[in-house]
Amino acid sequence: MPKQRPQEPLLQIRGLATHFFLPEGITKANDGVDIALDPGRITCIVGESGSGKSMIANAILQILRPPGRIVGGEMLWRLASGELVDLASLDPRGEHIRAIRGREIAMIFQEPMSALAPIHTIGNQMTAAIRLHLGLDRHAAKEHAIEVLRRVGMPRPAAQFDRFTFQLSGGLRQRAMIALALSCGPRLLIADEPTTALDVTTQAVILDLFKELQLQLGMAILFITHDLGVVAEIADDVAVMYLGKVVEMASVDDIFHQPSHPYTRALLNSVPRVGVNIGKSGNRIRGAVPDPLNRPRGCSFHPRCTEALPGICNALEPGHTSLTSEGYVRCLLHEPERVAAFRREREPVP
Amino acid sequence: MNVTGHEPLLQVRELDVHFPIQTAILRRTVGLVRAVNKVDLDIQDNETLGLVGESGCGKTTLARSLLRVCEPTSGYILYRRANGEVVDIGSLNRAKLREVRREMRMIFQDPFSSLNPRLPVFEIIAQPLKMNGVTHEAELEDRVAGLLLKVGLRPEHMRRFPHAFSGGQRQRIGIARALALDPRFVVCDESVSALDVSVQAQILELLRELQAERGLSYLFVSHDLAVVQHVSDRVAVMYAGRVVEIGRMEDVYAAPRHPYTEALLAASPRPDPRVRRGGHSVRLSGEVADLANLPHGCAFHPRCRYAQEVCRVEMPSLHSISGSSQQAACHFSTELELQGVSMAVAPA
Repeated sequence: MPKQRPQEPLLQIRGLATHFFLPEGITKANDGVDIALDPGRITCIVGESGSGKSMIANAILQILRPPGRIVGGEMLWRLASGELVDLASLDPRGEHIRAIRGREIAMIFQEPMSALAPIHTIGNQMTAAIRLHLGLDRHAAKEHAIEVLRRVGMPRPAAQFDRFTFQLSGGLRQRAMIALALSCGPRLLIADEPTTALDVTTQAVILDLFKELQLQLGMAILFITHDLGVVAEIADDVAVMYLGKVVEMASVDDIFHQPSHPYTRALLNSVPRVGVNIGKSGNRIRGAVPDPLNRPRGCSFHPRCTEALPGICNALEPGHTSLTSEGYVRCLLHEPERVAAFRREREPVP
Repeated sequence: MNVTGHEPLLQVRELDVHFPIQTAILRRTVGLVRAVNKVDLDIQDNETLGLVGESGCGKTTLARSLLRVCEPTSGYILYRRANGEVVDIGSLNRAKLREVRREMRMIFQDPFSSLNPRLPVFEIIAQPLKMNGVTHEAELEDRVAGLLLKVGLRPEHMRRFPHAFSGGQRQRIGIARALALDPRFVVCDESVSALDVSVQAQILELLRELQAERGLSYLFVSHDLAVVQHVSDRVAVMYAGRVVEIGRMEDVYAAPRHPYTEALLAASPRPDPRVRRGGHSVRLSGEVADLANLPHGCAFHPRCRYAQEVCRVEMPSLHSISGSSQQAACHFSTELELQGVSMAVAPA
């Protein structure tokens, strides 16, 4: 059943730009990203490596490492009181963001082994966050932590509380990571490729857990992945990224059954599917993702696009076109009026 | 040994690969990791055998031992050479092994660590040629240029170093190197797993073209069932060091005969949001069996939802299933009604 879309988004990202100032030039990791996250929905960001999808997560939490910096745009976060805060304007080391980070917005990383501390027990890591953010005492924090471990399906939670990460298997480690993120009851959970390092069998179980937790707790989830199979399995809304821009944002059904952007279509054609005999289909993406330091002019996808309009797509930058259903696309094929105007300008009709 | 043209290219019989667990100082052996256990496999000419399983099931060890990168503990690896001679890879001496390995090559998973960053592409690809007697500089250059063209790279880039290439291009360099000596058998160990989907599709297509052109045989190791389906003629499913099911790809996917195959297929994500609303779900609980401490009976029984008393006591052997191309190692392979995936034909 499609979930109801609430009126006010929990987080509204508009025109987010994060740039990396490297000795060899400026890399635009995000270049005008627009995404709205609603409570109670799972939004997937999907894209190939280098598309800038992880940078959005890092920008939201203000954990970008130099030479990376937010250079433009706004990220309006709705506090529980209804007040709006622009996360982009907060000091990365300031009190405000630290009260939000881990408490209101929590993050799950790809590699639990490197994201969890190896020298502290699972319990210690959880209670540290719980005591800081929720102000519970040692005893109450432990009880709370064990309850969260139980909720994420950890077998014998009281015993796991005193174990170290290296004593757990990959699947249990990822559960511990999820428990840590959920320990303070966040309203937004960001998961950056949380199942990429897992086997398919474990991945399926962890994806089920995400869906279940989301139904129980009602938070918003931002799920970053490169795997369209995972997207189909879990998403309500999908943002497709290419070279730092969201090229299409739509509901999961529209993305898979009525894709509007040629890149989305090409990506779907490239995925080998279990149970579908593809034979020798030719409809694949040519070439590779271009060097971000040397982006193509106009639409950055045009050199690989089979539907590109010569003389147009390499000159004009595509704008934001709203789709009939909710969502939008950035492609000149959806902007016939602008293309016609550009043609008239170039070749004035005698 | 009978040497007709219809024999398999590679016959693996009763192959064991065990690694000792040793104590830190005295190097006493205190246990064995049984990575590969009594494996039987055949690979035919011009055929791709897919090998799937979870991490830690021994699939990479099996693949490597076929080229004797890992030393087999016991068993036979019979390989039919281009001249018809059948040799046992496991018992060859060094000189002979080197000669045979010209015909058997490997393409690795990680295109970033499998190429020497200090050598230009020309040297990387020319090395196997030089090792095998091509020494004339002009001829080397011709051969390398030809190989680069074959895998879709520009010959004028042969003086560049690997860092100047993208992941997909590097994987093409790895393929060119593997092809340099005109092999007949190539092991692809997770060769497209590190690549983006758009590039992955291109590399799979290239591997298929090369196979059609040169009559290559592949052993294609992967954890991704969708990729394996895309390239394989037959599929072998491994669990805890054993082949638990093997057969024609279409048969195994459509009607698996081992509960583990069923669970693997059910867990593979489908790129179609309608599927999840279909409400099918066979989920595997628990972890992959520990290869150093295998459960009694069938190694899969602690995770199997169909397990019976006999599964805890007796280990099932791989047996043929009448009326099908499949072999499965399950006590109930003919009785269970297992769920596969329907093999729809993609819309044109």
